[in-house]
Amino acid sequence: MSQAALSAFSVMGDQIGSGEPQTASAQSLPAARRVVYGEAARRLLLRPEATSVAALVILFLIFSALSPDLFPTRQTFISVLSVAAELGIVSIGVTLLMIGGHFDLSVGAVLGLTSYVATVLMRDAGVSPIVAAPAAVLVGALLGAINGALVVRFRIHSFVVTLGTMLIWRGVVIALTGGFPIIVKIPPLFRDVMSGPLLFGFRMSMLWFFAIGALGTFLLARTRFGNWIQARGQNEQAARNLGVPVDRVTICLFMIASGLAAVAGVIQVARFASVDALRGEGMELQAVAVTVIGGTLLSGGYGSVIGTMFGAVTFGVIQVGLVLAGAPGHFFRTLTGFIVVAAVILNTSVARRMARSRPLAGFRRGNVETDAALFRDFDSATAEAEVEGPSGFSAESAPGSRR
Amino acid sequence: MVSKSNLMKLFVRRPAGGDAPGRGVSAALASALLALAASTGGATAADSNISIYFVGCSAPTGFHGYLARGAEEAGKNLGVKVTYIYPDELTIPNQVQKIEEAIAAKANGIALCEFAEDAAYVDVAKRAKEAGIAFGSAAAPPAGAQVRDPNDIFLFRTGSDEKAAGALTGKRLAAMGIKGGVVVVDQQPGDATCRDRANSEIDALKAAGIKAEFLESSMDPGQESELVVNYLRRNPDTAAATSVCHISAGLLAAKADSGKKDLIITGYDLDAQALDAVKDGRQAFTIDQQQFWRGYMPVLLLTHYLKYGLVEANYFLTGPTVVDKSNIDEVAKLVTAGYR
Repeated sequence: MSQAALSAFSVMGDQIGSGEPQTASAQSLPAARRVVYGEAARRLLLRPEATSVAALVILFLIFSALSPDLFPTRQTFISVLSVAAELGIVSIGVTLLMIGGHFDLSVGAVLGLTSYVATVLMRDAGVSPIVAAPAAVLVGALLGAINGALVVRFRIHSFVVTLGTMLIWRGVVIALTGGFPIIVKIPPLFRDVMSGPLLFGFRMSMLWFFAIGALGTFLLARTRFGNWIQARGQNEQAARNLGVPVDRVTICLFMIASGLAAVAGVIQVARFASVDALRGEGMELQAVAVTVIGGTLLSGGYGSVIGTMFGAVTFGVIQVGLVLAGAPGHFFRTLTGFIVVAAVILNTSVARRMARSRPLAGFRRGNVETDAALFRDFDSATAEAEVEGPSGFSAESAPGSRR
Repeated sequence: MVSKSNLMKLFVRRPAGGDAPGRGVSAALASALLALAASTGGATAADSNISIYFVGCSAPTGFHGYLARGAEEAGKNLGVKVTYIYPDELTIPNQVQKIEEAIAAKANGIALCEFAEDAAYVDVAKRAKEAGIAFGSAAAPPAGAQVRDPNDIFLFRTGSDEKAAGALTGKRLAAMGIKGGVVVVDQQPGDATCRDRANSEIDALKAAGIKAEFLESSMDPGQESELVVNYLRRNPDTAAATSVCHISAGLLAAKADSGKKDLIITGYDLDAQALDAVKDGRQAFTIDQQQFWRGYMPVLLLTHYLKYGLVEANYFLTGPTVVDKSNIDEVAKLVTAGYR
């Protein structure tokens, strides 16, 4: 729950628990409670991830109704989170990059190439997975650094740069693998740590997904670097004028995006003990879809890692739900596409409505102290209005109601 | 060295009486001479001037690497110059552009890795013909076609009959006496080859009274695996899962994850993963199309047409063939040697 909503509830709680004699103010509690709850809900819906949660809940209910025996079960949740984890890890990097105002179309190819690196290091060089896995992630970060450096140095749009590098990395994978799958023996311990079903049937990849999601959220919401990312995404020049090291931030974001694609690649190598020439193909667009479902703006500057995590879960729900609902096999991709578009439409329309909404009866976005002060203002104004008559209770009559 | 004209006489001259005793002798002699010429690399000066362009579907790696290798080896054996070219991205305009480049380069013959309908190549085939260039297809004939159509825009077609391949999978599964349904998984929806295989397999299974369903999947093994695992949950009577494209990692993972040890997995083409899985029994069989021949035979047929005017009356089918536990060891040696 948002800080604003918590503050509103805390103010309400203070009132209820004050033990003071019944006053005009206390008599207005039911109305105040409605306002407080309403405002809390409004503020919750203003968050970028809120609508992806709504889409997820709606889809969950639909698929549960269509397949009541199979869908709302633990096995389904395991499958959903298995799909969500691998795609979600890639999408978290893409999300940070998109909030920073850039695209990366090469993450799928980076996943393929770094999977190849990990496989060959283990198979041909006899390197331990404990070394091969970080090495593959480092290679991924290096590929990201190349993307970032090209964008920064030549001032070319990241869409174009990464379109080119996507073709290059994919071409390299095809050439190196010869177009065929390469298999490798994976030590069981490494396989289990990366993607084994050790968490009551849930895969370890889910744990990595949650851990990376938590780190990404912390980075974005609680660090200076996170502020820089958002500043870069909202207005590059303004960020530069304010002293944000825009170029460095850009390169770091590309490194994170490609590094996380490599992490997903390593997880897949551990699970499938193989790599093929087309590994990761199409994942770049799935990651963008997941990011947008999660409430991140394509235009940059606004978004949420948690939203993307919900977006990945939503994608998993769609994939698994369609099979369990017995959707016709020939229209599987079509239906997936339709549902993704519907989820994004739901997201954007709700987000637009919420952006146009006004705070309820005297609330406005602010810190705890401001909210508390506003609540007190609202309370006294309401009490006065109640003396005048019930029609006097309105947002306009309350001080501080205008933003 | 046997001259071209003498060889032509051996092939062209036919006794009027039909089964004349000399005919068999002539044919045997011709075969022996041809084999001798091929084995000794006995190219004449004129042979080495023959330039054949092989317009591939993609870079000469993996599956297409075998085609390119076959074409190259045929060129060496026959003493003709073979150039393998391919479009950066496989689209009809890109591939037609490559054919036009071969025409501009004054090739004597063009072999095409045809991937689209004939209609896409009618114009460029006409231009090649007008330029006096022999034009053949390194892809399968229309399903069921055995004898060459005299009006065919291609001199020959060499490839695997994909519909026959799908039907072979279906019939093989039926012959195995499977108890339950079959899910036919396509990782590359939109690929006509995979779709042909899928449709004919489903038809063959249904004809045998076996329930068969098509399932669109993706190239991502993780997503494919979960897709199939959940399909199996919804359809617990499923006895087999068949991949109609060559990537089967997702299916193999689904078999392991679902705990359905008796699930029969089948696929297409030969690669390390398929060899491994067939050897250890995780995969029942794979359908092979002997792609080396898809490269070798077009160069051979073009060369013989250019040298002797020979045109094959039948289409040349390189597949389908089944590789299972019974022949996997022999086939694996050929894969290692680069011939399958």
